[in-house]
Amino acid sequence: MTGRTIVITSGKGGVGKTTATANIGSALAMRGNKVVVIDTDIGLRNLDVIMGLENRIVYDLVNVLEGKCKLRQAMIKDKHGHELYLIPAAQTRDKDCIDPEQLRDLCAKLEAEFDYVLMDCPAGIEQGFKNAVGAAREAILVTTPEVSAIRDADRVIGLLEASEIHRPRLIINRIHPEMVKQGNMMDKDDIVELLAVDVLGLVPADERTITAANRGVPVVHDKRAPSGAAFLRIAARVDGEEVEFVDLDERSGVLAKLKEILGIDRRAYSHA
Amino acid sequence: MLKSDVIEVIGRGSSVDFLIDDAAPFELVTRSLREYLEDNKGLWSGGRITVDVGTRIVSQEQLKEIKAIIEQESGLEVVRFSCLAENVAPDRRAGRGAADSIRPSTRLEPLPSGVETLDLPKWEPPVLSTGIPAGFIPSLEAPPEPEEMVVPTKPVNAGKRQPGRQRRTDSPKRQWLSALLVKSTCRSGEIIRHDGDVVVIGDVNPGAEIIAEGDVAVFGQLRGFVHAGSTGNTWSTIVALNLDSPRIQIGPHVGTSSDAGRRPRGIGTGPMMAYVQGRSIQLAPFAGKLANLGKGEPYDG
Repeated sequence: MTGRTIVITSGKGGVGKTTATANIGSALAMRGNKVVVIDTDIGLRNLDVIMGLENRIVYDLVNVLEGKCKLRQAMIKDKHGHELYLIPAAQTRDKDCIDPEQLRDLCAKLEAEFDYVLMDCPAGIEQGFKNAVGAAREAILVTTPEVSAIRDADRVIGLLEASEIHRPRLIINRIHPEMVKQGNMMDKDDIVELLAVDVLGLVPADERTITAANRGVPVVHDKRAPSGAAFLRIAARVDGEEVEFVDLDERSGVLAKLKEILGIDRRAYSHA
Repeated sequence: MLKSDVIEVIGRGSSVDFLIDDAAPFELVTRSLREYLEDNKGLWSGGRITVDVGTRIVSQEQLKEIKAIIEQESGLEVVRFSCLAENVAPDRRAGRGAADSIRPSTRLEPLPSGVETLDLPKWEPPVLSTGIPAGFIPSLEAPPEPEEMVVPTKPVNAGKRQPGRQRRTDSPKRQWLSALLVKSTCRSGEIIRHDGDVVVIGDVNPGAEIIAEGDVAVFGQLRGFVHAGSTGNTWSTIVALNLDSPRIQIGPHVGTSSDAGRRPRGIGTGPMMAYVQGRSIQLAPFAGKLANLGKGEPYDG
């Protein structure tokens, strides 16, 4: 088996990298893939909490890379019965204790066994970012429709290209359809125009995402959550399926069309 | 364009230029010329040609030698040399003084004895469109009528301009800086520094910087910071298909636009050019050949 190693990154913190990793990983596993998710945010581990596997951690990524345990021993199987495993980060160490080559070797081993190796990248563009990106072959970029997050995403695209990861795919997280409609939030087209990358998916802002994360059950397991549905569609696209983009705002209708035709544009933001 | 290392042969409509590298040693030139002509013997079937020696300083002896080689090896007839008049060094053996070395360009340069007859050249604008300024042709004889300009049977590609050759300009004001072509989007965090002009095919995103000693042209959205004329010159310009940058700089002058959405009155979107007038940066719709220079409005919002 030759799996795909994908890094999920953003540059800016707090845009939903870890949530996206947990959800895409779960959704890919629900689709019948063998998936392993690696938390590379050493020192600030979160992925285990969001996946609800915190209590089961015995060994971590650094233990594996230092040879203190076997790879299998650090892999925690997900609660939901799919072929999903987590390799947690070490909480008591820092990013400098591993290097990209070690992580690349680990991913190569995992690729032989799994369909997908997803890496949750730490925020920032320092050593932790270099570790994760150096080990990956593809990248998913998470951003929110905020000028600052997009600026960072732009920087990250440049850095990804510099490390030979071309055409990262973009997830725009936490879209408020109502705000977009009012012209108070950048919409997909504005962001894509600036970043010039392919869009993998649009995730609406959804309270259920937060409650799900707090409960340790990724939101894709919540059938009624619009964000969960969005992550399921994203996973399908990652898996190579063609899925139509749905309009996040159910209320968009005649009025919106009319405004569009009349050219009423009330944008309150600027790209700069 | 046929090319050997030091010799380039370019057809321009009904004429052919032999362009000879200005810097190559003369021995190399003669050797390459001989080799080139031998290799391409089939190409020529007689005719008259012009030899452009560029800015090389040549002596009459050397001109004679080149003429001999070409005529001997190819059967072409060299009717004219073109070069700057002052580049023809006086022939020592002819006993000329140094004061003689700079002559009016229209004056005929007598050929060394034994090489054809000599007429005073009749000044004509150069037939060849090399962008070479007037006043540069000491001829061997008066240029033939255009229809008589016979070319080899296989004329090579029609006149491409020679980048390097255009440096020979008569205007001292013009700057000939090498340009850097950037064929990708400049993303946040990237800095492009260049000691010449910069051309970007793509966008310049917020957070990216371009610092050029010469002009900057962006074939895309300009939203990052651009500093043209970074060594302090104020005649540099910034051109972009959409100039949407919060801050640009030309020489020492900085233009800021506190609100990128607010543009000076009468200036819409579309290709824009920024330049310095007085001490402020002006913005004008871009029209070819800088037609709108001086017709812009202050950039500062």
